[in-house]
Amino acid sequence: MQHDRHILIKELSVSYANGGSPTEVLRRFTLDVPRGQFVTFFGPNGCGKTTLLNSIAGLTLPQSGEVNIRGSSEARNRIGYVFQDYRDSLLPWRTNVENVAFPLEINRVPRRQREHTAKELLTRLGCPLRENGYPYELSGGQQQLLAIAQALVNEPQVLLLDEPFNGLDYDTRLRMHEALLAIWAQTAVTTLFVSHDIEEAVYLADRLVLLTKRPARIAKLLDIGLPRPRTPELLGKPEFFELKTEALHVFQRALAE
Amino acid sequence: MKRYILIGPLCVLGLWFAVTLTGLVDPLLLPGPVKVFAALGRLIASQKLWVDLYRTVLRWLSGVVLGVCIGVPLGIILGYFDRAYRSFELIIDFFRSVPSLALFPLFFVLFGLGEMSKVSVAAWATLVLLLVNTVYGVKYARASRLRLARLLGATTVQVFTKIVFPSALPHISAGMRVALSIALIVTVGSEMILGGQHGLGKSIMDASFRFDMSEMYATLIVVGVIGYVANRVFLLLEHKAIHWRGH
Repeated sequence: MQHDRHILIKELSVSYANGGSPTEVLRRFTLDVPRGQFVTFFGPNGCGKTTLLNSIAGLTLPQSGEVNIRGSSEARNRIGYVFQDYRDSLLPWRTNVENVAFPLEINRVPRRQREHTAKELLTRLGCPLRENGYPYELSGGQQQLLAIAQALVNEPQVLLLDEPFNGLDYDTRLRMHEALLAIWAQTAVTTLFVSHDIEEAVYLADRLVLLTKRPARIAKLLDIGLPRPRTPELLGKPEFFELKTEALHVFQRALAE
Repeated sequence: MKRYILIGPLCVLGLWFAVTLTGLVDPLLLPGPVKVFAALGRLIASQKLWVDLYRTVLRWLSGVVLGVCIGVPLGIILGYFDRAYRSFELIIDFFRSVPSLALFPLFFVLFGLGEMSKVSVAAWATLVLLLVNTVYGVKYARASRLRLARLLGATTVQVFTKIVFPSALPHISAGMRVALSIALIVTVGSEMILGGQHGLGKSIMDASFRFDMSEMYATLIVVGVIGYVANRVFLLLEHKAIHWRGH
């Protein structure tokens, strides 16, 4: 079956003027992402993963090349972005529900309607929160879930996540994976997930994009054909281990380059 | 635990009794607590104190409100547009270093003998403080929160009202608390210099000219109590309104 191409990244080049000499972060980066796919990115530290997501979100302007998100004229509104630090997207003066509803408020959705939508979403995510509580009263995992809910409230077609589960302990992360995969299965949102954990990157993905050192190129695309729904038992299976080992080899070669 | 807070005041009171009773200090310069508190009682019973108090508080709070209304918007603009701030940084730092009361003659020339010159010194003191605090509050608003606004396509007005202003609020309120104290000092000071009609500062001066030291100290106590109460009330309100401080 021919996949419906959703995100087309074509020859994207980004560099930062860092003091004197510009640092090249992405050099003619090209990738197509089919609609509804779960793609993870894994690569050396500082290789340009965040820049890639920022470019897709339109927050960073490329020197050349383009990102084309198909099937939506108002693409900007159709991107949910979970930043690396959840505190970046949660505003502490707003209640939990007001935080989730924030994107709708910016779009001038009436209060009653947007809070209804936000509450419904939180229930759907299985996120039992004190609606009128504040984010800083929550645990790290709950705050991250709140940030994900905020990114999803606009019903985006594209969900970007930048190492969202950093700093969470292992069992919380397992639960977050479960929650995220459930959301993904429900909404069929095209998901781009940057990870710094190779196990996580293999576990979640339909396709794993292994990146080189900066400026980031694609070292290898790995199709992860593991069955869904994925459960933690998978982590102990030989087919999982094989894929992980292969990814690790590619990564080590990329580092040695 | 609460009882501890009384130890300090009791010590001061004890010392005060001691130095006056033993004659260590000239009772003409520092009357004993009994005399001063008796004078305070007389003041409270008289209408004069309330008129003075009313005028001082009115001048003081008008100045604070005026200063806040000018300082905060100005600070938000300067804080947001970095180049604007750097253009004015030197001049702001200069005026911040000049004691407000030293500028009083200027305000006196500008606004004459009336109320406006007194209100304007308090307003000036508040303005300078709040300007600087607001600028810092805005400048150190997390850049990442602005990124969120940009991602969502927020308008400039939305960015200011929904992100920049609330981000700066803890700094603004800290500035307001200090401004309340300083503006009170400046108000009472200007009343002392210029006299005019009523006011606690004028009352203090008048009492000292009459060599009525008991009344002078009693009025000083009134000023101190106002400042203390204002600070406490403000802290209480701040705690309620800015519950997210530190997060």
